[in-house]
Amino acid sequence: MKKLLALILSGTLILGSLAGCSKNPDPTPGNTSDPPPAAADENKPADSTPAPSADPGAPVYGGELKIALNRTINAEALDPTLANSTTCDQVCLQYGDTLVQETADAVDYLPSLATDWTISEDGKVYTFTIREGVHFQKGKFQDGRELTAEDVAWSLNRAHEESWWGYLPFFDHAEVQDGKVVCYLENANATFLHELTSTSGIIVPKEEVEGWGDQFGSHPISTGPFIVSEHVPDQYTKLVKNPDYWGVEPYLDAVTYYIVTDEAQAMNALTTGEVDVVLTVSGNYIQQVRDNPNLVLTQTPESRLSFLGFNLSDSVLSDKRVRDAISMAIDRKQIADGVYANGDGAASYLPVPVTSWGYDPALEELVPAYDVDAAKALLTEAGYGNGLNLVLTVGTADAYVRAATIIQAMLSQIGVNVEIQSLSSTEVTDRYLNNTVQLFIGGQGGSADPGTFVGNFLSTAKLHTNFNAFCYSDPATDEIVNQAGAETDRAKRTELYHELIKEALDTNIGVFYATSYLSWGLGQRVHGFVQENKSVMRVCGLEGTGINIWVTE
Amino acid sequence: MQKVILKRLLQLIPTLLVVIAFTFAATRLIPGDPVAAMLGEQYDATKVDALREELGLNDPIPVQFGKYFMDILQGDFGESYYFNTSAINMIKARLPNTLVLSVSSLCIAIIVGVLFGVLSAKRQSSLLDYVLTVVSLFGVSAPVFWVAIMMVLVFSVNLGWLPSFGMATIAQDGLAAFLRHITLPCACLAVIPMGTFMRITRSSMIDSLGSDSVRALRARGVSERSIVWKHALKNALPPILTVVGMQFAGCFAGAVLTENIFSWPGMGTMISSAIDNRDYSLIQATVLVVALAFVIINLITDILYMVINPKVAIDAENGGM
Repeated sequence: MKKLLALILSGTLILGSLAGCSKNPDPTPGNTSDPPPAAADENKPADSTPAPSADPGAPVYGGELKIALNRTINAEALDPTLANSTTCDQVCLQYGDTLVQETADAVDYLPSLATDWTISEDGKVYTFTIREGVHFQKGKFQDGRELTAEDVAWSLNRAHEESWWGYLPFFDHAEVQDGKVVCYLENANATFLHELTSTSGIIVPKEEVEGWGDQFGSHPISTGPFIVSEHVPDQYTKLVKNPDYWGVEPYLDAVTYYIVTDEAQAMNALTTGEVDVVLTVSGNYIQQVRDNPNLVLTQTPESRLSFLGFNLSDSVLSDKRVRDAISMAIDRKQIADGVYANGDGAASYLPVPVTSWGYDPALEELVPAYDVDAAKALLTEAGYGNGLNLVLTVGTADAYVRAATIIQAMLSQIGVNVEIQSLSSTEVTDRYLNNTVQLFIGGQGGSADPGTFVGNFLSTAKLHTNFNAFCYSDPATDEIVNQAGAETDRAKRTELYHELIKEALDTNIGVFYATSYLSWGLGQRVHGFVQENKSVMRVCGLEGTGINIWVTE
Repeated sequence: MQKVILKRLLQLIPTLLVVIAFTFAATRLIPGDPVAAMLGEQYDATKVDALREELGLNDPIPVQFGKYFMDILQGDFGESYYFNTSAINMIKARLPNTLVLSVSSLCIAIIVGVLFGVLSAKRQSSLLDYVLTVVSLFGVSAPVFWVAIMMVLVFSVNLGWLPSFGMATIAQDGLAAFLRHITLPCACLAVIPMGTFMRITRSSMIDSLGSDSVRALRARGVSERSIVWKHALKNALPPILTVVGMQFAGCFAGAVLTENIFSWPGMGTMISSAIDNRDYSLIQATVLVVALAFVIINLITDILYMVINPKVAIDAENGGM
């Protein structure tokens, strides 16, 4: 018996030594010796101003930042053309550089690998001057050679041709002329610069991509402030400081992203100090971070809208009176109070988020006012005085499910009996694709550009996708969508988008009830961060942005 | 006995055929499109068809099954759509992590469960017996996720003794780090089988201690210690051993939940992300491997059973098994 037990135990130890190649943060639970909290953000953010960080003195070099991510990154997804989630973007945008970067409020652009650029009058030709003295990170197939205009043109052409979701659909090609990169667009599109700031726009060296083939994602190379040194799928991705970085020298020696899919566990790890940052704090956990004197909460409005959509092709919902009655029976303020009680969102009214430059509060007047009696009367007029049964499709995210139950209660007041069907995201997408939804609750993320919201909602090209499950399709509107997308003059674009917002409200495609807020939980030792108006936490930003995270031990 | 083993091995074939057919059907029955899951937030209807074609998802279901079955016969478990690597490689990387967790848990459960069971049987109806019975009842009835959360709150968050997530290896991080990381998930996974072992050992030992052979040993003046640990426990072993097989399979399956809670990179986290992503090949291959492990463990248990109790082997050869 003793021998058997000894055998089993030694077997366990041997298996332990064999088990994967993995590593974990050195567990040093508890950071009670840290200084008391400075200005932990107690209030809801009033605007997109980046949250201030505690300032305990002069920044110091060295140290490692540990960040918890809630979704796994598959091995190849660190290749900019294969990245498929915000989780991938979090890592890719630290090792990779793009031609331009957005300002913190996502309204304007800063020069990055391109030092300046010009746009032709018809908006179809963009010419970029490429920064000199920038070197690639050292890899197996090149030894940190200098970046050239050819690399930029090659990378953009590759991303356009190879990304599997059709990056830059309006792009024709890029080529080098007189040492500059000239990008030709098939159709003018004002979102081009914004698209260039995304992960797919990262510039990569040809020889590394071709040398590694489909393994490039496991050995990604670009010109950014950090280098991917180790990537263990489902466990962690470690990045170390790039000693040859052309920009501001990062304070940190290393950044490690740990995959912690369970939110409660991520919060525990933040509390014990095993991780320094949790980028997806939601619901009651927000209050938990607020209440903990050793943690800092920062919030900023996210370019993300939550809405109750109407399928216009549905036999019942095709009647505008029914849609209007439902809109009138919904009190947005009450939903926001119920769903975003922790300050992670606020009521909004238009088919663009409040952070967008296309949001004009004056247009809110066009939204039907909350009036239950009028809603009942309208429903009776439409022939549903005796009540109506509708199915509401919703994902599994807590905020959407809670909104669904509140909406269900509100609509029961006017005799609309709502059956809530909460499904996985793939099932919801399936229903969009097969046009089998009636009412649906959706969330849409985008940029400050209204084209990423109302422009997509009303676009025939986006029919039956997450963007346009409303089944709205009108050639005249498509014309305006294309025109707004092509126009490079901001004032003219704003006017066109206001027209589209009016069209969405007139038709009443849905109830755009809230703009959500992005909440991060940070340990006391993290300093020098700026919460930008986007999901990605940049660890070391461009000169002048003030972003360069450092940690105290 | 060889005849019996051969017979049992042959019985494996139809079992595995059923598993293959069942997992194939089950993955096709989960609502949701793998292509939509792959494209994620970048979902674009125009790209869907091309990708479906590329993945062979446009073929009729019987054709897909035929291809899948032929591939398995050749040892090819397919490519994971989401991870873009062969499913068998994914399993090879993860299986040791799950094994180390489930084997450690099983060992702890056996040691503690059998020890407490014996003590409980020896002092039947004493205060110790009542306390241990309550502990074992708690063990078999407490939900794993609740135990896990409580353990993390106590040992990681409040006391700060142990890490709350992740895995370490002896080779890379050292024995101390390995033990610190495995303690909580392992303890959590051991709770249920420990309760079961304790209860089985207790009842089996009570029978054994009351048997004529033990009475004869006592009459001969053999020490009580020797009677309990050498003779009575040996006689009480067969039912315990039967449960070992079942509990090991249970630990393997229970790892799905535990691994997810503790971010332990094993088969459990892999299969849940595979299901989320509708990664058909990976789901099929993982279920097949788990099913294979299940039947092999049961086969080994049966063989051990025959070694311990030769009467079973004779019965089996006569067609009783």
